Amino acid sequence: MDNQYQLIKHYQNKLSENEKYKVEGWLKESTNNQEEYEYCVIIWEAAQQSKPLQKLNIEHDWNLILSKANRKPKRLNKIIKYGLQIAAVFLIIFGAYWFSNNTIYKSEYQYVQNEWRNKVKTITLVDGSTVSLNYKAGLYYPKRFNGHERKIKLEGNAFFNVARNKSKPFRVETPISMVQVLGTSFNVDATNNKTIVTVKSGKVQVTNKIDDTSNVKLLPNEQGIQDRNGIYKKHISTQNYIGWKTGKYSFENESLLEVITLLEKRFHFSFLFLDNDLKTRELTAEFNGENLKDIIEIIQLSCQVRINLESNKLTISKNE
Amino acid sequence: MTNYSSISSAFKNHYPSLILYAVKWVKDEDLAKDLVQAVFVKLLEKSERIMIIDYRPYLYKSVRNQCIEHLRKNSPKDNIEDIDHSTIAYFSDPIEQSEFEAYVFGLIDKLPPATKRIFKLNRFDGLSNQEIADHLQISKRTVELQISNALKLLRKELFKSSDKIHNLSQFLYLLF
Repeated sequence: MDNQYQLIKHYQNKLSENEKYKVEGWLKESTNNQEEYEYCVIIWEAAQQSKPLQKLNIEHDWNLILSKANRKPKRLNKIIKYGLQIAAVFLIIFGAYWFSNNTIYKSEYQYVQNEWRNKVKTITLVDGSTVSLNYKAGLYYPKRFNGHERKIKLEGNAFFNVARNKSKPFRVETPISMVQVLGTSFNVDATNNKTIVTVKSGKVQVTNKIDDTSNVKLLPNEQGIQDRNGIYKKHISTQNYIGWKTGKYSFENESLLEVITLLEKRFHFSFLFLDNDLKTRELTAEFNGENLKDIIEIIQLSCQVRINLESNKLTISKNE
Repeated sequence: MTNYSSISSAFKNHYPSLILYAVKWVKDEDLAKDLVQAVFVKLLEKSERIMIIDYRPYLYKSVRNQCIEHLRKNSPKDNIEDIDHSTIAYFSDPIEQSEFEAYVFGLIDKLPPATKRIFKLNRFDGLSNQEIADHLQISKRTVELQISNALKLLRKELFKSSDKIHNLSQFLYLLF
């Protein structure tokens, strides 16, 4: 037969009367033809049976068997076996707990980052609290606050104004610290592996996330700092820490290094002191929303230094 | 391990057909695979204590027991003796049937690529000829010719190995 597929079609009863007649005539010609028909049908049926073997990797499966046979200890003591079962149960419970805690960030939380160099991005959370993000600051926050606390995660510098809710404390996690409040406004600066929390109103507690015990409690105009040396408290007398948001700065005999560091939070430049002595030069000035050029002008005059601004880089040198 | 190499070669010879045999019991490919592998794991573990002259009957019996044990554990009320070999009526022995199927599979794998692809799409993936034609952008007539070609080549291969033919010949007279 030229077209063996006709035989299969005959076997499946899919031929027209005319074709069927042809195949049956051919079958009657010889027993050889009948055998040919049989073989085709057997192959056809067997080929369907082979389906599970499509993706068989004999070498791989043999190695799998070998590793299983070697790994299995000869005989496990019944007590050990029982102990392992209990351990497995605990492991599963613990694992489920860990998993549920970790998936919060993945499933319900969303991430937002401020990519505007010259703008402050303000997010209003579902409870009415607002978060003002400085340039490059990122925030993980949920669409809803489930459970007994309001938990969010911050990278970078941001100002918080938290709606008061005594039964649901507000928590800000930074890479190294945990900031807990009830209702207040405060600034969290979590850049350069440090956390600096400055309180404007209310009460805030900052906890070291790494050792989980050391903490500081902060009142208005107090600053909590966690860095490599641990966690400690500082008094502040100005609102310069939120200058990045308000544009308002008030310096009184402030060191030039501190001034530049604070201005960097607003204008996002990089800076270089060509002479270390210049860092301790003092500045007394008030700024209220001026642009960087004007501010530089004033600093140059009052501190007797030269400041060069080029492609977002400040170079501070002596005024020859 | 004393007879490690003989177990290894028995595995390579019988593994595909043992899986097909196990499928007849448990009706699930992945489960069948696991059960056959479990048989070999057990065999390796006690290889130092036992001596097997003919692997073929030993392995099929072990797989059968493994399958029955599994079915008992999971559905104690089921009728376990009921093996499904309705698909190919020519084989009275499910072991022979499994071996033949595995053998045909090996032959299919050696077909020319285009023929093999079309034949597999029809037989393994259950696509209709029209679907294959659409999928590969060829005519339906070409699909049918390729399937016909596959059958021709397979039949030729089957003739070459006379022992398989011998196994088969007794069933060939059943239909006529």
